[in-house]
Amino acid sequence: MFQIAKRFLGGFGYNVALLGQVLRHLPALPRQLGRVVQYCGEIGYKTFPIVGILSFFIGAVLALQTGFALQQLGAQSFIGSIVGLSVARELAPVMTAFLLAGRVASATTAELASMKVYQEIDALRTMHIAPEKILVLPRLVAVLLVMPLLTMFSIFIGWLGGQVVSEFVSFIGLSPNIYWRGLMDFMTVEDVTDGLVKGEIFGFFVILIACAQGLATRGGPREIGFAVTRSVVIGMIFILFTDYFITRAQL
Amino acid sequence: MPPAPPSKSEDTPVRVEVEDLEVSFGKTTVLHDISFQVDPGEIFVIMGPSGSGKSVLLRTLIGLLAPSKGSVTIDGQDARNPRTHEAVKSALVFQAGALFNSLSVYDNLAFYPREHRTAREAEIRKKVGETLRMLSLEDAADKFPSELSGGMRKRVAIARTLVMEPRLLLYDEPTSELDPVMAATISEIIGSLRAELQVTSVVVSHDRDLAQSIADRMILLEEGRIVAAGTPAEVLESSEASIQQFFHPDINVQQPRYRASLSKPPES
Repeated sequence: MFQIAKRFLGGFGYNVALLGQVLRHLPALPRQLGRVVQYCGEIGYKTFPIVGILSFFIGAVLALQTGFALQQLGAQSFIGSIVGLSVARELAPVMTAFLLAGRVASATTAELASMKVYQEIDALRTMHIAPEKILVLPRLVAVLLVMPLLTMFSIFIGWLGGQVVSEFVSFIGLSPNIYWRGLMDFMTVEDVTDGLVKGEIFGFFVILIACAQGLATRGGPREIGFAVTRSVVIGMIFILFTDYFITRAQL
Repeated sequence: MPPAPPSKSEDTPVRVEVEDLEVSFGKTTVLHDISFQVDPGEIFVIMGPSGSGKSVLLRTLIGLLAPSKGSVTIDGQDARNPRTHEAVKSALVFQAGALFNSLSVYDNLAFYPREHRTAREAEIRKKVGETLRMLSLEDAADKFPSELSGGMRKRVAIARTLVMEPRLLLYDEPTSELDPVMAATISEIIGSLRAELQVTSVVVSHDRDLAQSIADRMILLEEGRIVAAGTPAEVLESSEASIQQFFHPDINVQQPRYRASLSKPPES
C-alpha cells in the first residue's frame, strides 16, 4: 500500500514538475508555432474521422435506447432533449478524450519513450535544447487549440446520429423538426460550453500524462510498450475520475 | 535561472577540472574520489573495463548527471549549470550515435543551428555540406540513420557535434563495435579534429589501441576509482597486469587486417 502511494505521488510529482518546466518555456512559444501547427494536424485533423464515426453511433444508440423506452410512454418528443443534453454535457467530451488517449496519447508516449530509450532526449540536452520546449509545449498548445473543435464536432455529429435514428427507426418515427425543436428547447449555451470545458481539461491532461510517461521511460523496447499501456490506462482513469468532480462542480 | 557564465573567448579550447567527484545512484556509489584536470586543447582518455564508471563520468562532465559530492568545472564554471555547457558549446558523441531516427542525416546535422538560429538556411546548408565532406559522408546526406552502417553512424554522430562548433568535445566509446580499419579511421578523425579545431577532447574508451594512438594523457578507472594516471606509456606500463586482466588480448588488434584497403575503408 505504501509502495502504491509512493508511486502515485512520485508520478503526480513528475507530472507537476513537467508542467512547471513547460511553463518556463512559454516565452519560446512563438518560435514553436511550426510544431504547434504540425501537432494540430496530428492531434486534430487526423482524429476527426474516428471522432465522427464514434459520435454518430453513440448518438444513434442513445436515441435507439431512449426511443424504445419513451415510445411505451408516448414521450418520443423528449428524445431530442435527452440525446442533446447527454451528448453535449457528457458523452462527447468523455468519448473524444478516450479517443485522444487511445489514438494520440499512445502514439505520443511511444515516440517520446523511444526517443528516451535510444538517447535522443539526452542528445537534445547535450545540444542545449530542452525537450520540454520542443516536444511537450507545442503538443499541449495544439491540444488546447483542437480539443474544443473536436468536442464541438463530436457533439454535433452525436446529435445528428440521434436524429437519423429517431427519423428512420419505425417504432420511434420522430420527424426531424420535432427532434431538433425538443433538443433546442432544453439545451442552453452553458450545456455546450460545460462540455467544451470538460473536453479541454481532459485533452490537456491526457497529453501531459502521455508526455510524462514517455519522458520517464527507462530501459529497452519492452518498457516502451509498458509506457504506452500505462499512459493510456492512467489517461482514461484520469478522465473518469475528474469527470465526476467536474460534473459535480458544473451542476 | 542562474546567470550565464562569462566566456573567455569563443574560439579558445576549454579547461576541465574534476575535484573529489563522487556519483551515487541511491545507496550505490559508482564513482569515488575522482580528481583530474584536462588542459585546453588536450586529448584526454578515460580508460577502464565495462562497468568501471567511464560513461557515468562522461555524463557527469556533460551535465546529464549531477555529482553527489565534489565538483566538475569547465573554464571555472559549474558543469551542473546548463548555461556553462551552452557557453562553451560542449558536445557529446554518444556510443550508439543517438541520432534523431526520424530525420535524415542532413537534417540531423542542421538540427542544432536551426533550433538555435545560429545561421540562416543558406549558411546552414554550406556548413552542413562542408562537414559532410570533411567526414566523407556526402552520399549519406539524404539517408536516414536506420539505413547507415555502424561506422557511418559514428561519423554522422561526430559530424553532428562538429556543426555545433564545440570547444569541448566528449566521445563515449567512439570505436566500439567497429572493425579495426574503421576504428583506426575514427581515431584519425579525433586526432585531426583536435589539430584543426583546437578543441579540448575527452574520450571514454576501453580500446587500448585508441588510447595509445590519440591520448596526450589518460586515466585508468577500476570500480569507480582512478588506479593510474599519466601519459599513455606511463599508464599502460604501470598497469599492465590490471589491463591484461580487464582486456582480452585477442580484441587488441595491433595491425589492421585490411591494410590493402586503408585508402578507402570498407563500411562496417
